[in-house]
Amino acid sequence: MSIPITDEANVVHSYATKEFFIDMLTRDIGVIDAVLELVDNSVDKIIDTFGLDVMDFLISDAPQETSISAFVDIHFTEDFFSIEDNSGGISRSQIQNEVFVFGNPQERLHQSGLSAYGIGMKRAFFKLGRHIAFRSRTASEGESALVWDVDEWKQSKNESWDLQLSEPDAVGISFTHEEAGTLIRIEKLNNSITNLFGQVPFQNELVRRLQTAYALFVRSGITFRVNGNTIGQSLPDLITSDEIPIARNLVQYQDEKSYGDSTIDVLIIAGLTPRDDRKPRGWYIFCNGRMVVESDQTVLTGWGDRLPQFRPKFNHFVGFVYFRCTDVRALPWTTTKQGVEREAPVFQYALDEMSLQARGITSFLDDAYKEDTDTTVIDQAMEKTHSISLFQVGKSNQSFEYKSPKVAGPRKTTISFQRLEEEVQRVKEAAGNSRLSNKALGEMLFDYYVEMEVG
Amino acid sequence: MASYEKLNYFLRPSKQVERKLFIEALQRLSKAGYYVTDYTYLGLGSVYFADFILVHKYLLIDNMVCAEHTEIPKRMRFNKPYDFIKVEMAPVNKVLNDERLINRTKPHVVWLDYDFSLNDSILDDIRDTVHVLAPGSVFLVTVTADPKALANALDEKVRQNITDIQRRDLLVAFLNNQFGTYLLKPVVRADLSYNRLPLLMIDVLQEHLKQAFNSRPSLKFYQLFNFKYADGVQMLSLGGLIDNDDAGQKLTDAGIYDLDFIETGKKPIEISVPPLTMREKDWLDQHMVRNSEPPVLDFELGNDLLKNYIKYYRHYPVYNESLI
Repeated sequence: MSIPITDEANVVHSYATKEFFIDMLTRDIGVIDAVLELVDNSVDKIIDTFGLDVMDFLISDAPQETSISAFVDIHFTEDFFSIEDNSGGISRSQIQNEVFVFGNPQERLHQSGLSAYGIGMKRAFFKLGRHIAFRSRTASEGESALVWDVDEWKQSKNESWDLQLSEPDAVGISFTHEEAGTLIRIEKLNNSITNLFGQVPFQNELVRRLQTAYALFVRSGITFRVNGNTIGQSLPDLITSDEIPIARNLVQYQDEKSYGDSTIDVLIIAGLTPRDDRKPRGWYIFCNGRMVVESDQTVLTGWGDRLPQFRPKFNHFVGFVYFRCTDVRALPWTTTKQGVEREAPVFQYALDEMSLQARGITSFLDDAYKEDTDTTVIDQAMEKTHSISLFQVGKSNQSFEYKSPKVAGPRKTTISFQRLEEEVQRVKEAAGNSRLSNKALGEMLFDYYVEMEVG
Repeated sequence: MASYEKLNYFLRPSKQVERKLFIEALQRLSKAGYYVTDYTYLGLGSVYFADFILVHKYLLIDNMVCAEHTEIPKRMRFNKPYDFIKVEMAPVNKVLNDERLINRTKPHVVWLDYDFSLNDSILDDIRDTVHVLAPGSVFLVTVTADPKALANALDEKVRQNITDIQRRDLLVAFLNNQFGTYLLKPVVRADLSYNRLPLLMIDVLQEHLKQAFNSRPSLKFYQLFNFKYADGVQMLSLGGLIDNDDAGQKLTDAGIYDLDFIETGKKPIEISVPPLTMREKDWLDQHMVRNSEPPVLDFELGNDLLKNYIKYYRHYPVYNESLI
């Protein structure tokens, strides 16, 4: 017997509360990630308006040099946070029916958007503060605006989740420019946010994150400013030469069961960083141009699983993984866009491909740092390399294969041993140079013996 | 020492039967719509190129790539039976990653025929291979599955100074460490036996292959081969077809699953060929009636050996000495 659904006594309630969004989901995201979510909104709109495809720089033989004049301006103090752009603005119908709906992934028709889940912006608001003023201007409709008082909204419990549009001039914020775009200002900052926003290390870290997360967008001509300062892009360089190549592979991934007809471009570029780059690198992962994993050396990107455990000798390894798809839901990013959905088939596929491309590099580094072999040849090969930026990497697929130059002359071997430090010092003095390195001393002594005893 | 140095590859009768069974299965796959003649064959070579010769002669495949990692480039090139075989002195993963050799959009026949025990580098090779293979490809891996050979996994110095029990415990620890994640139960000493070791490796290989398809859920591995044989050292082969959901029906319709050397499960089919004289072999061939009771023999031969002969008589290798 089935129970009729109208039987009040047997109803099992299931619904979402406002607290869930305001107080709970916000715990899953960091403050910088929340700021980046708001930047994503601006960038997403810029992509849409300007028809931007940032991965073109990495994929196409002849990338279109865009001359767009888009900007995203961030300002914050201990009292407020604001973000303003000239992205083209958001239409009234989108504001009324899409942008403020929780979990409303939009059907994207344009290339490579950044808005995937319809939760990022709202969660970012709640993470930062309690009073949100929103104003948007489009070329065709003029301005729309609203104020979202979160505490007031929360108090109305679940009676109504709706917000009200206001007169643009009544929301207390105004554009600094005449173009179509969006302006958001958040006040009544949460306590922990006020503290952070007043600290220099926070500002520096935010700038650093923007420089890497949006590196491709900076390269494409979008200007990002933080408290008036324009930021650059910062991604590690690679080294290359005739002998030391850079691995690159672009695959069009399809899996009907998982992603229907969608094709996901998976581009992998991997190689070595310059000698003077002292930072341990690892893998960088991007979805539609936006970085979601930075400098990873863990099992997430295959270290200690498909690849060997990350060790200091791999510090100069650097790999970039780019996923591009017009269907943003097919990309393996998480809702916080700080991490990947590890079990996603396309990411599993990428992991296999990453290990295939990286294995040549890790075994090269294995050889380069072996203790008992002569590494002069590799050292010399490294000397001959030059640095290039990611955007200068060739556009054809190739694997990392160290083309060892024909070793000139006979094979060499290494001798190493230990002696009392004091004694070694005395020998150096006897040799007439107390500041001689141990290596030089050893070579000198060996040559001396060869000359005197062996001939 | 590699096995090709211990033994002439051609004189391994069970191995030769395996090769012929594999070839026969591939021939029959054409009935299911897999025209392997158009495929590229990737094998691991050895200076005898035995698999390459059979694959070329009986499957008419002439796109062939041979990956060989040992440092005998001249010997490999010298012994290469056909000019069109591309011999690459490189590990499997490098060959797989070379667009000039392996076209990821085309189906392949790949036989990773190792002469050592299953280890993590073989598992890496398997994953890399499955990763690049297009739907319709056929994949077979062969490993040593013999307790005697497994002992080589231990450091030589360690091996010399320990008791038999200590040795076995070290091997158990080694197997748990290498393959634990693929097994429901931890490895125990009894798994090191001649009969159980192959079963353990089959479990590992099957689980590893399943996992390798997490990246392409639309594809499946249709296991067809699960052979066990010993020409001295016990070997194990596991393989099958990589394709989408429709393939199962195609294989059934083409009668592939009805062949008595096709095995989709965990229990390996044992290939064992009796040592017979030429007269005995000829007599058996003459008097054998297919699908019927074995004939009454004019000479002594154990029943199991006789059954094995009847099963593999078409693939039974004959060796002659000849003056050349």
